[in-house]
Amino acid sequence: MERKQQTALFITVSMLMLAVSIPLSFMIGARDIPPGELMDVLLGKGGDTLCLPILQKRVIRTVLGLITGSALGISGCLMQSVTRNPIADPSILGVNTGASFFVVLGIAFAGIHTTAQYIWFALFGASVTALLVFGIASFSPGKGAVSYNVDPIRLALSGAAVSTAFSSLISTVMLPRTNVMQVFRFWQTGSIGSGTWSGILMVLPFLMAGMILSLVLIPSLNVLALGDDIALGLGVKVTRTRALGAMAGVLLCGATTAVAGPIGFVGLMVPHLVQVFCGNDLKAKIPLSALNGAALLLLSDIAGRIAGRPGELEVGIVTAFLGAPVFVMIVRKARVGK
Amino acid sequence: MEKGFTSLDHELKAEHLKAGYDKTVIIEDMSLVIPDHKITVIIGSNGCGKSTLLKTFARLIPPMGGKVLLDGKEYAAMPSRKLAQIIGLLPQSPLVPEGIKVSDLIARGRYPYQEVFRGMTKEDYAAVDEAMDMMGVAEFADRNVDELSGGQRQRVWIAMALAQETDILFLDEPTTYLDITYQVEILDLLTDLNRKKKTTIVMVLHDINLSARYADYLFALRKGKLAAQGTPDEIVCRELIQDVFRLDSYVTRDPVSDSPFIVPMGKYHSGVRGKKNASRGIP
Amino acid sequence: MKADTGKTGITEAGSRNRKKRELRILAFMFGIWCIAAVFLLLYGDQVYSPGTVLRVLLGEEIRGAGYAVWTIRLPRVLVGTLAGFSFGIAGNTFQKILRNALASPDVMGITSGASAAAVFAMMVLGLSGLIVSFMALAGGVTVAAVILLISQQKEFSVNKMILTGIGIQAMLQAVINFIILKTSDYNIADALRWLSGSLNGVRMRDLSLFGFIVILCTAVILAYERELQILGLGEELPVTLGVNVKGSRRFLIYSAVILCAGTTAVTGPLSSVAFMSGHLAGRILKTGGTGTVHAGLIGALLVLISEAVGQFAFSTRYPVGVITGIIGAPYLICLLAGLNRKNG
Repeated sequence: MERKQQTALFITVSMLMLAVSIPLSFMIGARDIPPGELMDVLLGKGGDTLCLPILQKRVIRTVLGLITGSALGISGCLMQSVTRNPIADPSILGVNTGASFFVVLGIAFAGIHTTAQYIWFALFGASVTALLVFGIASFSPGKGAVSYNVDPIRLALSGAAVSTAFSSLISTVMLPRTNVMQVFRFWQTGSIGSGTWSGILMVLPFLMAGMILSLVLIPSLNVLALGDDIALGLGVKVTRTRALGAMAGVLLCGATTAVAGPIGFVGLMVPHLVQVFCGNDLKAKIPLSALNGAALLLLSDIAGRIAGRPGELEVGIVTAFLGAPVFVMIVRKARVGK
Repeated sequence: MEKGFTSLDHELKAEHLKAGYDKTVIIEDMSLVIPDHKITVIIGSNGCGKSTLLKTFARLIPPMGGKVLLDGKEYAAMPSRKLAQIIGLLPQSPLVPEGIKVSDLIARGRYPYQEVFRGMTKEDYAAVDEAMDMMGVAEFADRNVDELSGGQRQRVWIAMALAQETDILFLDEPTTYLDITYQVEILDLLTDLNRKKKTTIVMVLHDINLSARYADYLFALRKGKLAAQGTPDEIVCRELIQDVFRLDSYVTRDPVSDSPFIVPMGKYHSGVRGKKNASRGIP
Repeated sequence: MKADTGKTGITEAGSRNRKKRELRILAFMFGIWCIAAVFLLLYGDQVYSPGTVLRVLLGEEIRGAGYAVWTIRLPRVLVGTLAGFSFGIAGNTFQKILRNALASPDVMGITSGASAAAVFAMMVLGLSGLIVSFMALAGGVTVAAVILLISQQKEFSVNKMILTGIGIQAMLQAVINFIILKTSDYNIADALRWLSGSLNGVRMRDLSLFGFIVILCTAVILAYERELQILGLGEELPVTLGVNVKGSRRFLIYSAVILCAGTTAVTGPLSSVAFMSGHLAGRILKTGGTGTVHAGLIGALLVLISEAVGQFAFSTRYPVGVITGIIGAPYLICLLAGLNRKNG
C-alpha cells in the first residue's frame, strides 16, 4: 500500500476510534447506560432520572480524558523531538515523580487538598524536575554555549535515577505522616474519574498554552531534528527552540499530572505509533499524536472500567501495563544508543 | 635470541562462507585461505563485507552458512579458551575502562591462560613485560591508559593482544583514527611482530596505499564477493581499483617501498595522466 | 637485540603495589566499620559501657543489657552490615557489567520488583511473614529474568538491558502505587515499610539464611572476578579472549539480583546504597579494577552510619532507608554533573 494511502487510512482509523470511544465512554461504567437511554437523554427527552447524574460525571470524565490524552500525546512528541530520544516520556524521565514529590510536600506541609492547589505544586514540581534532568544531563560547563550532546542512555538513566531519588524522598516525607499517605495515594495513580468542571477549567489555560506553543514551534523543531549544527546554519535559534519545546512539553504533562495524577507511557507510545504510519514530520505527528493520545487514553479508561468491575482499574495502571511491553518493543526496534 | 613464543603453523580458511548480521546477508559464498605467517590485508569500499569477514574469522559472528575452519575444525567445536590462545583481535574502537593502568590492561590478555582461583603467575608477568617491551610502552606501565595519546593507546592494545600470545592476530582498522605518524609506526610494529614472532596478521585497512605497501597478501572484496586475491604486485592494477572502488586511477610504483602506488584520477587535477590516457584511447 | 634489563618485573611490581594499597584501604574501612559497629552496640535508649557489652557478648547474663544487645542492637549491626555489603556488591556488579555508573539494580526494576511482589503478597494475597520475603526475592529474580530474556534476543547490548530495566521499573512503580491505592487504610503503614528500608525489628534468626545467601552469592561473584574485569572491555574483546560471555554474565547478574532482591526481602529497599557504593569504591581505588569487596564494605559502612544518623541525629527516629535516600539524591546530582564535565 502506498505511503499516502497508508497515512490516510491511519488518520481515518484514528478518527473513528476517537469517535467511537466518546459514546462508549458515556455508556460504560459501574452502571451501564444502554444506547437507547443515552440518546434519549442527549436529545433532551428526559429518560431515566437516575442515570442523569451518572451521565454528567461521565461527560466530565470523557472531556477530561480527551484533553489529558491529547496533551500527553503532544507532550511525548515534543520531549522525544527535543531530546532526540525515542524513549522520552514524562514517566521515564522522572518528571511525573518530581511533580508527585512537590504535591506530597504540599499536602504534608501546606495542607493542600484541592485541584487548584495541586495544579500549582505539580506544575512547579514538573518544571523543576525537567530542569534537573534535562539540564544536568545536557549542560557542559566550560564550553561557552550550552552544547547539547546527550547520549540517550544517559538521559534515560538520569531520569530513572532522579525518579528513584524523588520516590524515596516521597517515602521520607510520608513515613511519619500516614494521613498524608491516605490523601496522596488517591492522587498517585493517574485517574480521570474524579474530575470536576472547575478543575478542567483551571488547567485548560495551561493546556491551551502548551498546545499553541507546540503548534508554533513545529517548523523550528522539524529543522532542529536534522541536528544542532545544521539547524544553526539554517537560522534556527537552537537553544531557544529547545527550551521552548521542553517548556511546552512540561506544561502539558505537568498540567495533566496536576489534574489527573501521573499517567505514564501515553506520551511514549503514541508518537511511535503515529511515526510508523505518518513519518516524522511534526506537522502531521503533533496533531495526530493529540488525536491518538486522546483515543488511547479514553479507550484505556474504558478498558479499566470494564476490567475493574464493580470498581475500576484507574487509567494510570492500564497505560502502565500497555506501555511496558510497547516500550520494550521500541527499545528492540529503535536500537537506541548504538 | 628471541625469548617468548613463536607462532605455530595453522590452516585457517573459509569454505563457502555465508555471513552477515541479523537477517541481512553480506557475504554470499566466499572461500579463501588465510596465508599462514604472513601479513594479509582485506581491502574494499564501505559495505563490501570486509568488517563482516574479519569479524566472522575472529569468531564474533557465527557463519550463516558454510564453514570457517581452523586446522580442519570449526570454531564451535573448539573450547573457547583454546581458541583464544590461537586467535586474537584488536577491535575498531575498544573501550578503555576508567582508571585502568597500562600494565593491568595488558595483563587482561593473559585470561586464556589463567586458572580459576590462581592469580598472575610468573609466566603471565613475563609475557606482559615482554609485550610492553616490544611495543615500547614499558615506560607507561603504571600510568592510566586514558591519559595516553591515540598512538600510544593503540600500542597498548596491540601489547595486550601480544600478551595473549596468539598465533593469529586480527585487527579491524587499527590505524583509522590515528595521525599519519602513528599509522606508519603501528604498521611497522605489526610488521616487527610478523617478522620476529611469525604471527599471522590479518587486518582491514582503509588506506589502499598503505595496504599495498605493508601487505604480503591482499583480499579485495566487492559487494560481499572476493574480487581478487594475491600479492600486491600481482593484483593491484587500474582495473582492480576500478572494479573494487569504482575509482579511476593511475597505478605506479611507490618510490620509497617499491610497492604498487595508487594515484586517484578525479575530474580535476588529472591533467598529466589524463591527457596521456586520452591519447592512448583510454577514456 | 634488547638486553634483559630491569624492565622485567615491572608489571609484577606495579601489581603488587596496587594490591598493597587495596589492602590498606580495606583495612582502613574495616577499622571504620568496627567503630560504627561498636557505637551502635553501645548507644541506644540506654548507654552501656564497653565492658558490659563485652561481657554480654561473651555469654554473661545481664538484665537489660543482655536483651538490648542480643535482641536489638547486635542483630541490627549484623543485618545492617550484611544488607549494606549485599547492596554494595550488587550495585557494583551491575555497574561493571553494564559499563555505566548510573546503572544499578535500583533503577532497573530489581528492587521495585521485589517491593512490588512483597506489597502484592501482603495487600492482595493477605500473606505475611517469611513467605512474603520469598515472594520479594522471587519478584526481583523474575524481573531480572525478563530483562535478560528480552535483551539477549538478537544482539545483546548493555543499552538494551538498561532501557528494558528502566521501562519495567516505570511500570512496576505504577503497579505499586496502584496496589497501595486499593489497600485499606489499616494496612498502609505495613505497605510503607516495603517502600523504604529499615532495620527495625530484625532478629538474630533472620541472620542465618540471609547470611548464607549473601556469602554464597558473593562467593560466586568473586569467582567470576576476572570475567567481570574483562567484560568491562566491551562486547567483542571478551569473546576473543575466550570468556564465556553469556554464561559469566548470567551468573554474575543473577547473583547480584539475588543479593539485591534478597536484601530487599529482609530490610526493604535501602535506596541509593547499591548505586553509591560501587561508584565510591571506584573513586577511592582508582585502578579500573572490579573493587567488589571494597564496594561491599562501603555499602556496609553506608548502612551503619546512616542507621546511626537516623537513630540519634534528629529528634525523630528515621529508618535507615530514609537517610540513605536523602544522601543519595544530592550524590546523584553531583555524579550527573560530574559525568558531564568529563564528557563535555
